[in-house]
Amino acid sequence: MTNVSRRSLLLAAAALAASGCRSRTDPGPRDLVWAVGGIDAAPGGPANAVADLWNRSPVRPRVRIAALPSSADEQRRTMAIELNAGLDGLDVLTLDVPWTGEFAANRWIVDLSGLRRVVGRGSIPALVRSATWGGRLWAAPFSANAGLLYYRTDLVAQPPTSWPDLVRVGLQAAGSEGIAAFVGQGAQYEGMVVQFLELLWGAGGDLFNETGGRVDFGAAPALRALAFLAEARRSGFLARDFPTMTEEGARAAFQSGGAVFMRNWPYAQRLLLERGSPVAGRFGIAPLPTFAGTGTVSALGGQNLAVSRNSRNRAAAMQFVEFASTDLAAQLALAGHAVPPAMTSAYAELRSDPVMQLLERVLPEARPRPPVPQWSAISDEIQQHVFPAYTGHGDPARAVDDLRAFLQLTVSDG
Amino acid sequence: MATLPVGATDTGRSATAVTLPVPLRRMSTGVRQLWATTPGRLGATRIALVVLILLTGALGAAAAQVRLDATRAIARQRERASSATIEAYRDLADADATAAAGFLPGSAAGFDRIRFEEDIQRAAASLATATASSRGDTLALDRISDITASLTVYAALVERAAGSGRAGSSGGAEMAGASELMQSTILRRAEALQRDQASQLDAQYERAATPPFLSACLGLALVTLGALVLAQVWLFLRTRRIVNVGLAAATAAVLGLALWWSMALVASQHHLDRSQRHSRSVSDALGQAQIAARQARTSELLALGAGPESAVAHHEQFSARLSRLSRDGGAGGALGAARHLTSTEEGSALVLAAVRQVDAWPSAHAHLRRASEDGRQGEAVALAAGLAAEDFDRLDLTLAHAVAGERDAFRDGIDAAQHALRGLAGGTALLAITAAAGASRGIGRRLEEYR
Repeated sequence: MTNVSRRSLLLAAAALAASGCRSRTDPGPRDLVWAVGGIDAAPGGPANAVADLWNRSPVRPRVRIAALPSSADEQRRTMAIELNAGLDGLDVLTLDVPWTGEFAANRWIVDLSGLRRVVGRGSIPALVRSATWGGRLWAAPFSANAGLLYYRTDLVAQPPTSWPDLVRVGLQAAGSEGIAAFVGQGAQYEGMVVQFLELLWGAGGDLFNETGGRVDFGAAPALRALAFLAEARRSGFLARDFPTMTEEGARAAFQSGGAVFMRNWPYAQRLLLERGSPVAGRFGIAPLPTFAGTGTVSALGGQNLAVSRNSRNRAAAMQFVEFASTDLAAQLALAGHAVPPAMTSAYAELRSDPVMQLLERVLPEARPRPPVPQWSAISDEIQQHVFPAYTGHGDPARAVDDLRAFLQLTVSDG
Repeated sequence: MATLPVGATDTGRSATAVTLPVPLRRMSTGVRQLWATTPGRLGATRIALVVLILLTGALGAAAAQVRLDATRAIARQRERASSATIEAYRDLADADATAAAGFLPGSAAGFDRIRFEEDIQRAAASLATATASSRGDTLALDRISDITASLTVYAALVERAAGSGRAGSSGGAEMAGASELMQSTILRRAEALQRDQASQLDAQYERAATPPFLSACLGLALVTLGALVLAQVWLFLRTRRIVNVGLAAATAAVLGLALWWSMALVASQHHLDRSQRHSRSVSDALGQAQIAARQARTSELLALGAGPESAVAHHEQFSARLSRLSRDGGAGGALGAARHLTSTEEGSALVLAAVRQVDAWPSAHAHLRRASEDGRQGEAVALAAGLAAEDFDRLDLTLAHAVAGERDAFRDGIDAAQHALRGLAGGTALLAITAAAGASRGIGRRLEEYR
C-alpha cells in the first residue's frame, strides 16, 4: 500500500465522517429492539401483531422490530457477529430452536431461569427442552412448528402411516399421473438435516442421549434412514430435483400439482389454499409416517425468545419476553398469522383450524434438535455426509462412521 | 454448649495435648529456647527473611515467565493460526467472487485467472500455516484437510467451466456448480475453523491476563517488605544504630522488585488488551465484513447468470449477505461490529467510509437487477462488470486498508507487551537474590557482635 493512496483514502474517509454517518433509525434510549428474521418481521406480520399488543400500554418501553435477513443461517450469523463484538443494538433475540446452546455457551444471552415456573407450566414441553441448556433456561418458547405430511386427496384415499406404504402408494399414483411422488427438503441445508432426523427418529435412532452428554448414534437406524433416502432417490420416489429443493421449492412443486406427497411445515397450508392455487380443495394434511407404521415423529421447529447480554434494558426486555411467550392474547395473535403458538392452552382456542388441530396432536410427539453449543457445526457435518450419501456420491456406511466420529469429537470437546 | 457432657470435652482436650508427637514437642521447645536469646532471635529472623525474600522472588519470576510464555504463544502461534484461518476464509471467498465474475454470460472482461490462482495459492498457504499451528487439535486438522480436499475439486470444476467457456458456452452453469461447492461446503468449513481458532485465541489471551498466583505474589511482596521494616525497627530499638546497610539494601531491592514487577505486568496487560482489541477487530469484524462483501458480490454475479427462479434466490441471498455486512445504516452487522471494535482514528475513518460505500450498493444492485429482469441482459452484465465492479473493488480496498492498519496495531501491541516483560523473570530472580544476600549480611553483622 503506498502512502499516497492511503492518505487520499483517509482524507476521503475523514470527509465522509465529517458529513455525518449516524444510524438513521437510532432508537430512543428506552425503546426495546426486537430482532426478528425474514417475513415474520414484515409490517402487518406476526411479530408486529405481538409488538402492537405490547405497545398499547403507554407505561411500557416501546418495542421496535429490527428486521434480519430471511435465511435462518444469515440471521444467526448476523446476530453472532453483533453480539460477539459487544454491540447493544438488539435487546430481544428470536432464536431458532437449535441455537440455544450456542448463544448460551458464548454468553450472548442472559439466564432466564426466573421464568422457568411460568414457562414450564404453560409452554409445550419439547420447546422448553429446546430452550434449556446446562440445566438452565436461556430462552422462552415463542412459537412452535412441526413437520407434516401433505397429500393429494384426489389421488390418495388415506394417507399411509408407514414409510414403505408411502413409497408404494406414492409411486403408484405418481406413475399413473406422470408427476413426482414426493417433494420435500433435499437441498444441502438445515432443512435436509431436519428431514434426515425425522427418518432417523422414525427408525428408532438418535444423535445424543437425553442430556446431550453422550453420543447415541446407533449405526442400524442411521443406515436404515440413509438407505431409505438413497433407495427413494434411485426408485424415483423422490422428485428429480429433490436434491435442490428447500421449503419453498417443494411448496411450489406441490402447489402446481406436480407431486403426490410433500413434507413441509404448517405454513404451506395457507398458501396452498390461496385463490387460484391448482391444488386448493384437493389436498389434506396428516402426521408424518414412521417405519413401523405406528405413531408419528416430526422435528420440532419454532422459535424461542432470549435477552441479549449486551442489552441496556434487560429488565424490560425480560418482561417483554415473558409477555410475548406467555400472554394468551399475544400467542393467539401469532396464531392469527398462521404461526403455531408455543403455549399449550392456546390450542384449545384454535380447534376450528384444522392445521392447529393436527398440530395439537403432533406437537407432543415432536422432537427438538439437540440444543448443544456445536449445533451449527453438527448440522454442517450431517449435511456434508448425508447429502452425498443419498444422492449416490458417497458410501452410506462410511458416512455413518464419519458422522459418529464427529459427534464424539463434539462431546469430548466440551 | 451447656448440654454437652463437660467431662467428655475435657478428656478430648487433654488427649490432644498429651498426644502431640515427641519430635514436634522438642522442636517447639527448641524454638522457644532459641527465641529467648538475642542471637537466637537474630538467627531466626535472618532465616525467615531470606526464605520470604527468595519465595517472593521465585513466585514473581514464575508468574512473569507464565505471562511471557502466554504472550509469546499469542504472538508466535495462536494469533498466527487465527489470522491464517480468517485470511484463508477471505481468500476463498475472493476466489469464488473472481470466478463468478469471470463466467458472466456475455461479459467481455473474462476470467481473471491470475487473481483467482493467487487467491487459491494464498488460501492454501494460509491453511498450511494453520495446520502447522494446530498440532494436536484433531477437529481443526480434520477441517483443514476437508477444505484442502474440496478445494482441489473446486479448482477442477472452475477449470472445467473455463474449458466450456473456451468451447463457446459461457461456462455459467458449471461455475454455478463450483460456487455451490464453495459456498455450501468449503466456506462453511472455513467459517467453523475460523470461529474455533478465534475462540482459542481468546482463551489464550485469558490465560495471559490471569497468570497463576498473581495476588499471592503481591501479598507476599507486601509481607516481605513489612517483615524487613519490622526487623530494622527492632534492630534500631536494640542497637540504636539507625541504618543497617544490608537490610536497607534488601528493602530497596525488594521494593524495586515489587515496583518493576507490578509496573511491567500492568504495562504488558495494557498492551495485551490493546493487541487483543486490534486482533478482534480483524477476526470478529473487519475480516467478517470482507467475507460478507465478497459473498454478496458472488450472489450478485451468480444471479445474472442464473435462470429466473434461482436468480430470485441469489438476489435474496445478496440482500441477506449485505445485511450481515452492514445493517441499520452501519449500526449493526460486521461493519457495526467494526465501528465498535476499531479504536484507532484511522481505522474508524476507514470503517465509516466502508459504511458509506455499502450504503450505495443496494441501489446499484437494484439497477442491474431491473435490467436483468427486463431482459436487458447485456446492460445488466455491463453494469455488473463496470460500475458495480468498481464500487465493490473500492469497498474491498477500503476494508483491506482498515485490516492492514489493525494488523499493524496488533503487532505493535503484542511487541510492546513482550517488551514490557523483557528481563522481568531473570531480573526478579536477581533482585531477590541480592535482597536475600543483603538481609543475610545485614543481620550477620549484628550476630558477629555476639561471638
